[in-house]
Amino acid sequence: MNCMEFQRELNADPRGLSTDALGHAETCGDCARRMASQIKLEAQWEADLRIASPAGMEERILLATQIGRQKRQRFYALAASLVAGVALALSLNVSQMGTDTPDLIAMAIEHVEGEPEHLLETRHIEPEALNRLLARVGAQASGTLPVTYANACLLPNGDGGHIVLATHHGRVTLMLIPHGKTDAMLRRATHHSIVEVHTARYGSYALVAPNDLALIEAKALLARQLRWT
Amino acid sequence: MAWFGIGTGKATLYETLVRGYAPELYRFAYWLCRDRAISEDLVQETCLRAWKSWQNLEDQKQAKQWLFTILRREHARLYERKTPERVWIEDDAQWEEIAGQVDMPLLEVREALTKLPENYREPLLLQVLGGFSCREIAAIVDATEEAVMVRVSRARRMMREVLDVPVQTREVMK
Repeated sequence: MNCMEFQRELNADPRGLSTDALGHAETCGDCARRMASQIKLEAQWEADLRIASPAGMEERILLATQIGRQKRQRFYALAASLVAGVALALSLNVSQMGTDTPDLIAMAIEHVEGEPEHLLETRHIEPEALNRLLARVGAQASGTLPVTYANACLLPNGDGGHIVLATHHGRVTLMLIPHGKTDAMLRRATHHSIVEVHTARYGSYALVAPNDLALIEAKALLARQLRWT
Repeated sequence: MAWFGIGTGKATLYETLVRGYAPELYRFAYWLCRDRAISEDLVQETCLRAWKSWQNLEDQKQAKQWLFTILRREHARLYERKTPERVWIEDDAQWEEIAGQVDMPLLEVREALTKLPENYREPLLLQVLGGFSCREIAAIVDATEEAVMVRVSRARRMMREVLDVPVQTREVMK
């Protein structure tokens, strides 16, 4: 190898030089100095371009993957149960099956898990916009709520509202479900959250919280700040 | 295996890859798009796609290269959909203000990098930050090894010119 070939290899990949190139550098002082210089420069560039990744990024990625996986599992479970149900109905010659009552808790969980990014956002929400949303279930905010996200959303049974409240124990999602009525308070605890569905002036609303303390704080906030029209 | 509850081989390896490579993927994404939020989205989308298309990972030793290939495609796909707004520092006064607060040589390297054409910047980043060889970069960017060697060599020369480092370095850098 001559100096020109060495230079070409050095420019192409200074940290991956072939044994031929390294052998040449041992016998050529100029090329050895070029190599030392370039490797030092590479290390400097690498250090200068090394920016820190956001805290908790890996956890968020793993969580998002887990949610997607669980949703698929639920889909397969639902599909399997539907197939089993249809088979049973056919075997018993049953013409009607199931119920029209939606599972409001499952609907709330599904919606929140489908849009986990809203738990991380922090937006300024105008009080008028918040009240327009709350009016869907016949409520108005009489004071300031610690809202970090609020927007209209589409639920399986019609239009709804998606609001996120910041509590001292984690963020709580308030789902407005104007087209889903419940006669009694519903509650379910899952691995990741605690869900309660309450009756509203129109339809119902659900609270999806990461823990009991956050749920209690959110309920206290709503009790203080909401008035029902 | 904490996050899936069940210690499947796939889940364990996936978690290892995410924890091991996400920061590197993020740095690569950032220097491609210069936007922290978009970079994190790109890394997340890359990992989710990797999980969904796990069967395409033929050799676990190629996992890093595979992830960078996915990220690069996601970045290209992003720019097919829309061109996000970027904040480029054009104003001299703004540069001077920033330069007064941070290490200037560091800014110079970053500025020099942004001046490179994308087809030069990308392979150089893959080599300097990702530690890939020209052959591996060729597989990632779908080019010949010779083409990659030319691009990274020119990229280095441009960087040295912008940074005022002698192109034909004869003296040892202090």
